[in-house]
Amino acid sequence: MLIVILAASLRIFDLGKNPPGLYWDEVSLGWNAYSILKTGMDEHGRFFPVDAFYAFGDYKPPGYIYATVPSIALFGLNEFSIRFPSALSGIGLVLVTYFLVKELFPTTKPFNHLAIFSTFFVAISPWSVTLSRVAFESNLATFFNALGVLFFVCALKRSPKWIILSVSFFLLSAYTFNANRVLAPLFLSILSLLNFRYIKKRWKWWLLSAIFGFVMTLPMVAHLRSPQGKLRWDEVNIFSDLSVIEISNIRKEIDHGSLVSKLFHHRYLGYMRLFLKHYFDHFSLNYLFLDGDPNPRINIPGTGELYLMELPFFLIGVALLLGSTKSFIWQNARWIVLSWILLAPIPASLARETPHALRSASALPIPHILSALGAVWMVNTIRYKRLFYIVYCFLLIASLGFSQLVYYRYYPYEWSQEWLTSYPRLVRYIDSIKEQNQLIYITPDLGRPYIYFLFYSHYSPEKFIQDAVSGGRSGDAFGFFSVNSFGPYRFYIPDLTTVTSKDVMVTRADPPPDGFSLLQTITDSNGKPEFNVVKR
Amino acid sequence: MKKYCALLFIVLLAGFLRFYRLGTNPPSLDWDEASLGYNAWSLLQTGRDEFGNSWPLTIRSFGDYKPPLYTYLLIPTFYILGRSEFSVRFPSALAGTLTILVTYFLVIELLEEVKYKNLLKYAPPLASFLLAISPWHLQFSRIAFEANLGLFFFVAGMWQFIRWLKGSSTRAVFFSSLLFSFALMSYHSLRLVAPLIIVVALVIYRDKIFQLLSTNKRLVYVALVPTVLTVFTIAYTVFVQKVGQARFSETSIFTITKLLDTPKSRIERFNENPIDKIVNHRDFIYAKQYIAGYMDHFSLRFWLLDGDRIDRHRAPDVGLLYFWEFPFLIVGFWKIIKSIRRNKPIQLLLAWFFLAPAASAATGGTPSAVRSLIFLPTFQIFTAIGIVVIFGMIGELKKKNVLALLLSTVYSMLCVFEIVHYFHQYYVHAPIEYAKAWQYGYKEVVRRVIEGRKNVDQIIVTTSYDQPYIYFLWYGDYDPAMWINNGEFNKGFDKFLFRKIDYQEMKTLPHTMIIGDPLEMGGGAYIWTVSYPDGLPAFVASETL
Repeated sequence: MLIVILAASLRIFDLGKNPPGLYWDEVSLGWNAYSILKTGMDEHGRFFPVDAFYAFGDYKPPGYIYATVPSIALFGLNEFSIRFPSALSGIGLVLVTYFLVKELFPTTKPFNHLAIFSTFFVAISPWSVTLSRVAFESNLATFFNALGVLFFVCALKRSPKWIILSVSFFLLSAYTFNANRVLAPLFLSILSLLNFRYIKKRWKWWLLSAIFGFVMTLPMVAHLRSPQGKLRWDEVNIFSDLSVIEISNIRKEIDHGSLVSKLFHHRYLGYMRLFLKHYFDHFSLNYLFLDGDPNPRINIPGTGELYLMELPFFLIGVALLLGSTKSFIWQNARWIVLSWILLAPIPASLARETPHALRSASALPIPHILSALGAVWMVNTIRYKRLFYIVYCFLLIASLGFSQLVYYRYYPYEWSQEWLTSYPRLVRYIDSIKEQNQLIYITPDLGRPYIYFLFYSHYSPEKFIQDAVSGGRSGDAFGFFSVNSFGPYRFYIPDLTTVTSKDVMVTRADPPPDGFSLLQTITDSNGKPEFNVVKR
Repeated sequence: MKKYCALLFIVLLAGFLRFYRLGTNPPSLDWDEASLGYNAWSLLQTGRDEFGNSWPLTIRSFGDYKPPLYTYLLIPTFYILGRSEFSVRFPSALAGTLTILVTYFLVIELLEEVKYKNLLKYAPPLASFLLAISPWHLQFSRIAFEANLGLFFFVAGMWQFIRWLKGSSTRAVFFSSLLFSFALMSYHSLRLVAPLIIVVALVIYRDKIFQLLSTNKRLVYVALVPTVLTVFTIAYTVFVQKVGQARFSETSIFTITKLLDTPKSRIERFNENPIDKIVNHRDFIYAKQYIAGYMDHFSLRFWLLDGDRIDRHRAPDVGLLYFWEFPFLIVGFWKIIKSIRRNKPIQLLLAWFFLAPAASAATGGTPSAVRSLIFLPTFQIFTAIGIVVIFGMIGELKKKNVLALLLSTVYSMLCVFEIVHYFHQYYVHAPIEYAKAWQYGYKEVVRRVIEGRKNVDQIIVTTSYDQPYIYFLWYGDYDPAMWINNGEFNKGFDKFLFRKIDYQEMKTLPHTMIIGDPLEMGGGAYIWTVSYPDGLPAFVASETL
């Protein structure tokens, strides 16, 4: 209970204010949820989409958006309500970890404290905490994924009926985050293969749930097979890297195209190396324990995904998992944990940017369970128990304190640029000076201003859908949409002669053009000028 | 007798792999090799190095100071084999081959107390075979690198040291001291790592050490002589001549720029608040950097895929270890961990493994395959144990287990495929693809320049491939007695000027030969071109009237 409170306070405190602003993906999730709540349609006017939300043309999976609908109904349209489902799933993950460990490992000595240890590690995990404080679809999918495994274990240990629930949660995870569309079927089939003998005796429930799962994936498959669905995949995957084929061809030429050389320099081997490179990135100790994901929105720069203090226990935990004798660990636990941690980074490794803490987040909470395993073993083996507890608790509290200090004291200042903190200020200012029959021109240089104007001025979703359909939106060759206008807002810089004296124009923080005077400079949260609002 | 046949075969194989086309693959001498060669040649001819220092204790090479042993070993090599690319690399290749031999005996000493059937019979030859075909070891055995020489002396020293510690030979203490001294005189990193491992060994054998010291006192005193001499020599060069630490201050983590920028700005922003001063203390930052450098050496990408990503240190698309070795490595490592209790040689082996990157971690460019070369042959020992264990498990299965037979056949085919693939990459593709990393082309350039030098007053050579002067000294047959580097040779000597080429400006100079890279020269009429093996031009030359 205390641990859950700790977990909740780490995840919910100042949720709306730190990270200091909403990234446009978060705003888009929130606005689409709001639109669903008010009209039943998304921003493109599609009625309750289940395959994907078109959004910016990035085709967001629907899970997180529907999860945000009740949150917005409860708390209104604001930063907190958008991030709340993510924070909640972070807290949920802590609970799931507890039950999962109880099911997977024996509860007798030496494992009697394992569940508590694991739960504690997950509660303070930098990986989980950072993801839980932003509206990341991946974090919700991680929670669903863990629930799916939990119920799978229930199906093995209690009654096969649980498998329906397990499949449902895997389905939910696949409908929530792209990476889980690959992971969920892969993981489920590996888990089933590992327990094939057990399933053979109780095949009815498994067959039923397989059919259920198959039918439920149909809308998603239809979307993935469409050209739009493929476009996104082509953009990020490593197999569209042509240099592998070029190198293979050059080498074959040097060998005069002999049969053996065709084998040695086959491009499949090249792609396999490429995949492994990305895969191994996720198991790099530096990534896991020191540097973390290089993207400052996903991880606080300069801190690891896990605490360095966990490293020794993590290693011991891995060794115990791999090498302990049969009586020590329930055999199934070994294979489930092992396949989990080995499979989770596979979807992320198919993409170019690795290591990627977001796309591989479904590995949670396994690293922490392994650390806990190591810690429990240590506690049971070591001679000076009390000294160990004191020293170790001190180190953990110091690590936690350090990461929180960085997160609240340095992070909002140093990385505010990543969070587009000037947009809310701009919208609020424009709202305060807005008059009737006036056009407002806004530079699109900082990217996707329209969604911030919708969100922060609480524009009516119905009106927006009409505006957008009647010419406000256009698509480009890469499948992205851009919104050029709605209501009084125009998201481009026009020919300056057409701007009347009533109109207001928002430019980047450059000197105003001839004939215009500066009304106000809009800064970001650090006081750095970002926009100039000008008028003739 | 039979087991020595296997050993002989392995050593012959290792020798073949190491000496075959040693002078032409790697395709040319890199600048360090050329510098080693020229300094040794100079010492052989005149007793002075390139800079005119008589029998120096450290070898100055460009801005850097190298431990002297490799250069001194080159002197007899040149005397016997003459001067060539082959002979420059000869000591390293020989040391590499001998390391294979020594590894065999080392593994016997290390594993003697591990109780596992057939382990002592198969693991030693397996380990040395694995080392013989190891991409990591082969790569550095075929380059005139001090690291590889140091590795040989260290491994041999460890073998003798363990023999002494176990009490199997009292004379071994003298040999080990001598060999360790040679190791310290060979390579920088070893000056930190070797003493560390030796100290750990003494700690592990703490209850036995006094007994050993008292049994044959005189021998121990004699044994200390080379070590003490070496330590004094190193101390003299570091503290009196002040040259030894040049390398450290050049490469260590304390010289990484920007490392302290963020912490400094944080402390400033909060007006030197004590909390911020503690959290951002520079000792924490350096400690973190050191741990990062250390962990870089325990990465799968480093081991299996890319090595340290320096083209001179690898063959294209081959890692430091083979993929097929990896499962065996894990199993072998697990076996070692399990037998650690009351097994001192095993404890020592593990300490060796974990201390190996201790020096490399303190440098800027991590991971480094060459600075952590002392990892070898621990990986091969673990793998060999893993192979023995897994074969033991297969042997225990019921006879005619078809699945096991099939799987092991397929796996062995994959092993062979990967090994042959490596040799193909190393002997065929590496010299073509990575020629640039070896400063390829200077030999031909020097020959052409010497041919045409009568017609011109001055010769300007580009510095875009670094340190051209050493190649002109080495390939140009300059007499070291007459041409003593006054420290300015890198800018020019004789008729040569070495600088960046500005062709538009330089083409107005009278009677000048200009040699540059194709980019600097920007097209035009060339009198000759020297190309890389893949056909792209490396150097082009033109002559003014």
